[in-house]
Amino acid sequence: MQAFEKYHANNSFAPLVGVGLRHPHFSDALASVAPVDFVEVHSENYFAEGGATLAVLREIAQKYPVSLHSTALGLGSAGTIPAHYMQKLKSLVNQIKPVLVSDHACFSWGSWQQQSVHAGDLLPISFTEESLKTLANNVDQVQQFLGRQLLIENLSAYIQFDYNSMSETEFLVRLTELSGCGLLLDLNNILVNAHNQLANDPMHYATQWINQIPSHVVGEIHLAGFSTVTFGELAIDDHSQPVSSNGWQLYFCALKRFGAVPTLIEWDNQLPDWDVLIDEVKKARIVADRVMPQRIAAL
Amino acid sequence: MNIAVTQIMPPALMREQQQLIKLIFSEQNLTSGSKFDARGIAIYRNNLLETAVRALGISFPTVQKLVGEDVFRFAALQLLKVAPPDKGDWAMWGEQLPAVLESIEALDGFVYVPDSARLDWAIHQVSRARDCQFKMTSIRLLQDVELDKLFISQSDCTQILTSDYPVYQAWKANHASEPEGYIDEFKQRIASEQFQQYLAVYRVGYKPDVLELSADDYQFFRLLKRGYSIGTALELLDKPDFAFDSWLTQAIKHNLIYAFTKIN
Repeated sequence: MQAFEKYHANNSFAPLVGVGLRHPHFSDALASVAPVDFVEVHSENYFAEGGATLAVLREIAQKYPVSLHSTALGLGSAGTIPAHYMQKLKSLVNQIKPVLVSDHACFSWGSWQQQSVHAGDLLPISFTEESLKTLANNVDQVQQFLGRQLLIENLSAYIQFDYNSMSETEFLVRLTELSGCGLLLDLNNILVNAHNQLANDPMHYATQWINQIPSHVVGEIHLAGFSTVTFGELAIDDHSQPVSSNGWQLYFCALKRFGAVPTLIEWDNQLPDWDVLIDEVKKARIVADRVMPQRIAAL
Repeated sequence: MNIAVTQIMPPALMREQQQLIKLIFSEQNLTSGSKFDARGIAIYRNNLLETAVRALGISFPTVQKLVGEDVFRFAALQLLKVAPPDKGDWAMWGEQLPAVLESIEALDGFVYVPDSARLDWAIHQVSRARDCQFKMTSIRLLQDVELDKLFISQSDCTQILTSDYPVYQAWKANHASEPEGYIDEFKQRIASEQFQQYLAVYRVGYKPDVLELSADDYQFFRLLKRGYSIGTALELLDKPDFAFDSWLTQAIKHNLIYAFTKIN
């Protein structure tokens, strides 16, 4: 059975748990099949027309179901998404046949000094009607072009807009209604935002946040850690640490609310050994085991 | 879907985003009445520069070693100003770095650095090029078709370049496991007058490599790349002792060419 088919054949009550796969772990991942349900890669890293990196990804896709997580579509940009970018993504999707395709609720494209630019970052968008329609239009356009649903990730933001007309959760839920996309809930981003917005009780903020999201729209959960900072300093979503205890606690709440949603451990900076990443997967499964018996009993 | 796609973009949103892009890409003072948290803008600015440096470090590994971290970082910052990224793929950003390096005063005594950057960029391009291998079956055309009607299509996995400096040795000195010989050779060659180096960057399989060419081999490649038939290229090269057979053997061995083609 192909890796892709195995993913879709999963009918257990437990969530599928994967890891973000980065270059330094390629040989580990290929040496023997690790006990993970899928791997997630950043799409743009494989936009080359040929060469070693793309060849490795093809090999990886023979062994693991692959999720393509894009970081540069800039779907909230007040302009159309460039055709060259969409074509590259489509070409990669056609080659790799990913189990999930996702990007972020952010913008990246714009212009500066009469030149088109891509900001190279996930820039925040305001939660207004204008912004919502733009994002929904672009998500719709990309979904139609790819012929499949996108999952859209909530962002960690370092600036706020004082003229938002709705909450982030209302914005995201309406986005799913307008465009038919699913949501990729990044629990770490919620905790980073809670810190940066000076929430008195970050866990209360975060649980309230996820309780405003209906369970049927959530297609994936991201777990990660970030470098701690003191209260009042801005926290950065640097994916450089293991999942925090708050992160695990929030994951417990999320599984209770959303059920067995595919879950990914993200770690991008100060990458640990492959075994440490796999241990994080095991931790996620332990949390899921604590949640799922209750769920099964309730059925 | 419940929405209609429209190409008319809301002006307020456009303004909001342009303002943010400007704050991040410019060196505007962050305390001068911006409505955004200056600490947040500083994070985005820092992310931009760090990502740019990391991306250029992948595409220009030799240059990074040659100029050191501080100058490399400065070059990245200059490149962000004159040629900001516009593709959504950092691996495609950096083509203008050689020109930026030419303008950096601290590199005035290091005239070979811009050409080293051109070599790095060529290697980077070749490493990402469409996989291709010489079509051996096309070789029969050599017997069947007159040279004036016979062409050679170039492999996507090949780039040729020339330099007034021994950039091949500079590259080897920074990446070979035993660099001493290349360092000595670099010193000797850079001291010689009227130096010219001809290079082919190629890929057999997935690993790019660099080959020093003779001036004639390089010129012949260049003529073929410009679309001349083999016959015309040989005529324009005007070197009676040019050994086409040897050139072809080398070209096939290093996957420098893709196929023979003919005009119908």
